Amino acid sequence: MNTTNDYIKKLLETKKKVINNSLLHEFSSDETYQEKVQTIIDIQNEIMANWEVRSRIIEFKNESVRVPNGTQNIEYSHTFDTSLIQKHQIISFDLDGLDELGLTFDKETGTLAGMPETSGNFKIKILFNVKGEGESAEQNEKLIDIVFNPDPKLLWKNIPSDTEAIFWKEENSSISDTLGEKSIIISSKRGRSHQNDGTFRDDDFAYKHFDENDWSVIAVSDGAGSASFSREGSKVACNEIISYFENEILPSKELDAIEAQLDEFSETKNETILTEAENEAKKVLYKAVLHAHNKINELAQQTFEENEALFNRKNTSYNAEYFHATLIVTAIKKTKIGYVILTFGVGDCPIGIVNKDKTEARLLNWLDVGEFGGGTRFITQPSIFHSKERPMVSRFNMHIQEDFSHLFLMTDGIYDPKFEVEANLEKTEKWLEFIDDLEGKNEDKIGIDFSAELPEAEAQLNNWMDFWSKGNHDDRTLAIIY
Amino acid sequence: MRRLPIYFLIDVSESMVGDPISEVQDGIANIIQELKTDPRALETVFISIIVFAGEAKTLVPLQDIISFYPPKFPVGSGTSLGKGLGHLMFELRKNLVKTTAEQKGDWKPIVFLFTDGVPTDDSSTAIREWQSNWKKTANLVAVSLGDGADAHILNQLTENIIHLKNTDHSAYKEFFKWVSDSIKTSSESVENNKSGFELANLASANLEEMDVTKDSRGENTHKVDDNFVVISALCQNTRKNYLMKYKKVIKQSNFAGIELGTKSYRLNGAYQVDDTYKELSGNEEIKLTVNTDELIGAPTCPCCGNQIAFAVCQCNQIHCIGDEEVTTCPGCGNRGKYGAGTGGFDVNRTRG
Repeated sequence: MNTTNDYIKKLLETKKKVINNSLLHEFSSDETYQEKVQTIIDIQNEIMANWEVRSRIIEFKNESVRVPNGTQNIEYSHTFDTSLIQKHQIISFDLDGLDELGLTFDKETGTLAGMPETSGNFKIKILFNVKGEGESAEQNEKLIDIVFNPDPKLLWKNIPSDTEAIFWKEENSSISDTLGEKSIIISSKRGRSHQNDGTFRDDDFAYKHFDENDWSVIAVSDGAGSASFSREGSKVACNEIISYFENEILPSKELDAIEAQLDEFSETKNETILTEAENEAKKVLYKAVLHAHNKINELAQQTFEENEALFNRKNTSYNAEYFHATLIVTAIKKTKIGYVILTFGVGDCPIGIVNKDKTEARLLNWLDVGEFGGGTRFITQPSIFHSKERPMVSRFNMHIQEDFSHLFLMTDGIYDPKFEVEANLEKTEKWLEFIDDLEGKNEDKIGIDFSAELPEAEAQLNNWMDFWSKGNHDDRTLAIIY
Repeated sequence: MRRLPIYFLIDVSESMVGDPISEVQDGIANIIQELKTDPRALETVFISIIVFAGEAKTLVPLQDIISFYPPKFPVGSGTSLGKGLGHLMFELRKNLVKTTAEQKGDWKPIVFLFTDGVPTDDSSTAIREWQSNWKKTANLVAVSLGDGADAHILNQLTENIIHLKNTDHSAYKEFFKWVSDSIKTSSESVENNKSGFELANLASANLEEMDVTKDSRGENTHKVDDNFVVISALCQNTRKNYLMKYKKVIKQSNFAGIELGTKSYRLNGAYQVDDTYKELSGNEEIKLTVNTDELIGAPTCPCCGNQIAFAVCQCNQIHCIGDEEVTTCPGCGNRGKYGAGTGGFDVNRTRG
């Protein structure tokens, strides 16, 4: 009765009619009108309910539903958030289009899981019904994105370098040998970025043990990625250091004189003699370094004369720029006061030594590191010989240590992933961690048994060199004296 | 490991509504997919997406490609380049890792600025800040989508201005391929210690370096993008915002032997927008109008399907009407009956 009264009154008001109360009462009391009003209200409720249902469907379709990215060949699992189901009053929820993706959906737990077989961006279909929809109602559809990333390790190609190309170089190279009482293993490998492009290894190394006076010389060089013949620059730099020692320094007996001074110091403890010896040693090494620099210049000039067309880069001022390479050199001998280690360094390759008890490590050279990547210096640059900010003399060092467990020379292909930043090269614990890593304390449990026979240790080092490090795919060269 | 940060600063003003925004949305998704095929880029490239209209907002914070999930692009009112740049510089300051002895810094970041229109704000302060603080620290590539962008203003930000002449599907596809190639080239050159920024070759007929000798289009601080007319409206039933977009056409006519061009705007589409529309729209009052005589075609309401999406209340609110007898304006709540109007009348347009 009341409902009917209210309804008719409202209707009249909407139609802007003057309401006659007794007439309104008469209408409201009439059963036929009561029934009609009830029917109208029922229909309205039905329309409203349908309206709500449609709105719910639209709202959910507009909702951003995200699922986490997966990786190809790695088990995927994601459980849908139930708050989303509640928020949109969803009564049935299923997924479609999963077969091709290698996934299944467990309706009970709301979990999408499986092993993605391919990579790419895919669509999956959500099939859903909302509250208010009948049981037989057709399922509504909503498409969402699902992303499967490729396995980065599978993307790297290994394209051989062109063996016919000028200055072709072997892709990987390694040696093992004895240096007096110590052993040496060296491995140099073409980086993944070069493998991927079919380009050359730019790193190089050379070493020699001179039996007649027991000196050993080791050189490691990293050719600049931007210089087209740097692979040859690094090779010549290393080889020329060795040959200068062999052909000039050793025959002239200069090192013998220095050794005699050091022997004298070991007895007299006269610091002046030590300083003298150090200065003489630096001069000797300087001559070798200058020789290497000159030899690269000669080669650059010769190459230019023979293949002028290859020297076509803009903004170059001298031919040796095409041969840019860093260089680190170590000459080492066991003397009466211990191991004498002479070093030279230009560029960003470190030389490090760890004492016998493995309690102290030292960096024997300083690194040329620029503010941005690529700010390094090269043996090919004439400017390094007369730089005021970085005096040439400071690049040489003489270090005396009774004994050591490991002496390392490495290129940035090792130093970047293993030490990350320059500051870490000053930290003993980082060098000790590095030795642990070399001995197998790493993700792949691949290590070197330093007590093994040399060929075996060399093979183990070669194996270790293939470690995976995200974003670090440069050439790798590591020399270990132990 | 050094990161190579790539920022996309994308104009999502109303003129981008419809096809352009979905082209950009798909384009970004394709870039990511393309980069995933390059192992170097996959490991070093980090992506961030910033959108701007009247306001600016970070749509995707700087993250690696592996975690990237394709976002849904919003639209807003206005083309506030100043706010977009300001927000970009804020993000750069926040995220950029500098090289020190203790940490390996990022490679020089690359910014791709996509815009289809003329800034509607005074961008000069932000441009000056960019010039003095960021021009050398980041590489910016400005891309004009279509003919609408102001080359003079873009040239103050960078020498690299690219013009995407056609804006059809295949042109967009080619363009985004070029963007991916440029990113790949860059991620390769940083590995090789080169300068770290090389754009891929502009091999396509649809792409060219932009002519910056053209004069600026006036220095007004409240500008309107004239290539499109976009009208913002409210749905009577769902109370949701929608946009009606009209594209400029110049109709040549010959009147008594005199060549005349008549400007009019042809319906491009009607699109429902979500709540981010309000968030991204500047809130300053603007009084810009267009005469309905210049508009060709009328859409249906994209929210509720009402047959007429273009009704104007006395409060100037545009909304949809169906075949109901009494209509309620979703803006002011006024109720009334509508008759068909005759002759043109002025309605508010947005700034595009």
